[in-house]
Amino acid sequence: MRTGARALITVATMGVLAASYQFGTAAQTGLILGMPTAAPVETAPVSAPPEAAPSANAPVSTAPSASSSASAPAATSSPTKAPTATPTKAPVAAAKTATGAAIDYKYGTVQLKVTKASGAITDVSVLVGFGSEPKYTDLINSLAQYAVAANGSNFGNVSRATLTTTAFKQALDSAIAKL
Amino acid sequence: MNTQQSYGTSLSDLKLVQPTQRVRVGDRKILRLKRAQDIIEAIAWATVVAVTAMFLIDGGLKEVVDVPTGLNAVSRLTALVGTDLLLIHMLLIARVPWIDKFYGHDKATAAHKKLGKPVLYMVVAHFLASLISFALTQGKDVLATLWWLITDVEDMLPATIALALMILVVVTSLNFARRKMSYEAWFIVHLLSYASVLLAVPHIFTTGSDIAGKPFATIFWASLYLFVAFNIVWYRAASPMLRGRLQNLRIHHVVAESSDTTSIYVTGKNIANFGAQSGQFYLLRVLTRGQWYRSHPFSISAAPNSQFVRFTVGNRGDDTAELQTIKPGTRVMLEGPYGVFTEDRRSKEKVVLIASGIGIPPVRALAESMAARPGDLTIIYRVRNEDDASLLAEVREIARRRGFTLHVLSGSRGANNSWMNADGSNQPDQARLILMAPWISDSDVFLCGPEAWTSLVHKTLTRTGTPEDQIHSEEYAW
Repeated sequence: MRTGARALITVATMGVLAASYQFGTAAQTGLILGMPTAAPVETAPVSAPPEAAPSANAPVSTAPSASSSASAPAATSSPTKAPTATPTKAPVAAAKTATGAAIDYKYGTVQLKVTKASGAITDVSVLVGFGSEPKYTDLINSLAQYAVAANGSNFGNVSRATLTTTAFKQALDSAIAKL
Repeated sequence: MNTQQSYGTSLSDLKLVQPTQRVRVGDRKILRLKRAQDIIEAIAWATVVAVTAMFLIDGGLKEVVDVPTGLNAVSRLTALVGTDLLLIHMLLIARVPWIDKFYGHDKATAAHKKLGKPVLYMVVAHFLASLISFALTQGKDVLATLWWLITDVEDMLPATIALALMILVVVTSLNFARRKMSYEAWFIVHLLSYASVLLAVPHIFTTGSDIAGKPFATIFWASLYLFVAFNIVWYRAASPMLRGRLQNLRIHHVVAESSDTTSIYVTGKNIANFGAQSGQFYLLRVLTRGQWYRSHPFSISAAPNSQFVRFTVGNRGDDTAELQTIKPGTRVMLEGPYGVFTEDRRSKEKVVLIASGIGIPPVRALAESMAARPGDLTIIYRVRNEDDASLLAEVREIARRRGFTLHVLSGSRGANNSWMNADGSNQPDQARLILMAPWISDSDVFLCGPEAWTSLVHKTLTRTGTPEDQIHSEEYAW
């Protein structure tokens, strides 16, 4: 390659890569397994409207429900969750809940219950969980928080958990569709 | 054909094609060629930048917080760049006519060889990085993780086999291994590389973090794969097969040219439609029981005409020995024409053609058809024995009819690593070359011969002050 062409292409390459790096750091994409769970919790109240502020502790409610579903089969997990979920919804007048279809995928089944108040998703609780290993519990907590933060399924792929993410998003979409 | 004198066709019926009437010369022709090459290289580079940019836009570096995530990013990036380079690597050797025309098969082959090892390093790095990253996050040892990956993760078993095959292909391509293998063994191993690439495809699209579930990336990668696959399947298999059938390509007859060379005449319907140029070569595939699966690169040894395609083949003891006795009427397939050893690369009025031994066929064809006035062309032909030199009578006849100078350097090799014959004068090669072709530094030089010989000639040409852009060489090695 001639020197001039090489120089031109080098500059162009660096420009494109720098721009895409900027874009990549700014964008709300690229989630990973084992990301610090504190970060999404902080972003959740910001994205939620002011009226939903009382229910900003919604993500907290997903933690016990997810772990209970992970430790016990689906049938027993729903009654234990019902009491914890109801008090958080109580302050919000127009809160609606819907349960999505159970999605089967390679590593298990996932079924979600979504709570929506004033047009924003305030709570995602897991009725049927994934596997019983602790890493799945962490993952599901993270996914639920991402869903609340993104107000839907439009959030990044959790890398190295592509299949689980995809199944979670399908379950989420099916629940949202029923609202 | 009982005596040596009856080799070849008799010179009274030697029909020559009408030479090219006009040829474009000058520096701008070279510049245009270089621009085309730069554009091809820039496009290839742009795909590498595109996949890297897609990785960055996706937040690939943002998520790096500790060792496992860092390794994960390394794994993703090496996979993306490595796969992209692998596709380029395959396209370069697919002998695609448009690459040959705009980039040159010589440069393409060189780039193909240069890319082989980096591709392997990238893919191995991808494998190791993702393995260690998974092992760290799961807290298992590496072997247990490998077992889990192979048995439990979707499409990872074929991908692991693909990696093993790829290592095999690259190792057998290294020079030391290649010298020990027959062409056939090497060829079969290289067919495995296609299997290797195909086996790796599923895991890219089902579990690839940067592709699975991302419509744009999926479309981008699928079109890259389909583009490369189309070029390989169409130009290497479908098109030659169709043409061989439709044009009914067959061997017409075979003529011994010397004690160890043979001319093969191939005829067929509309044989002039191939659009070959003098100096180019075809991959000849003889469709007999034992030969159909391997093709041989042979230069045409007569300028393209409406009657036949002629190859002149040396007997090197392998497959080429069987070709000496092939039956007339045998079906053949021709892939090509390929090669940049043509007038397209000429930028000067004067031309010097230099050939050694069985390097003569393309030079013979060029001498027949190049645009030239009497005296514009000088032919230098290095042979061991003038009485047993392939196509020498024809070259003599062409030089006589068209008024070219012909120097036949016959006899044993000169001293001091000379590429010429021993003439007892003790003059260096460049001095002798300048005596034979005084305008050599302002000529285009086309040289064809064995690799070691070609590099000696190249050095001599540099010493005579011939610029690199004016030296065109073709090697007859696979």
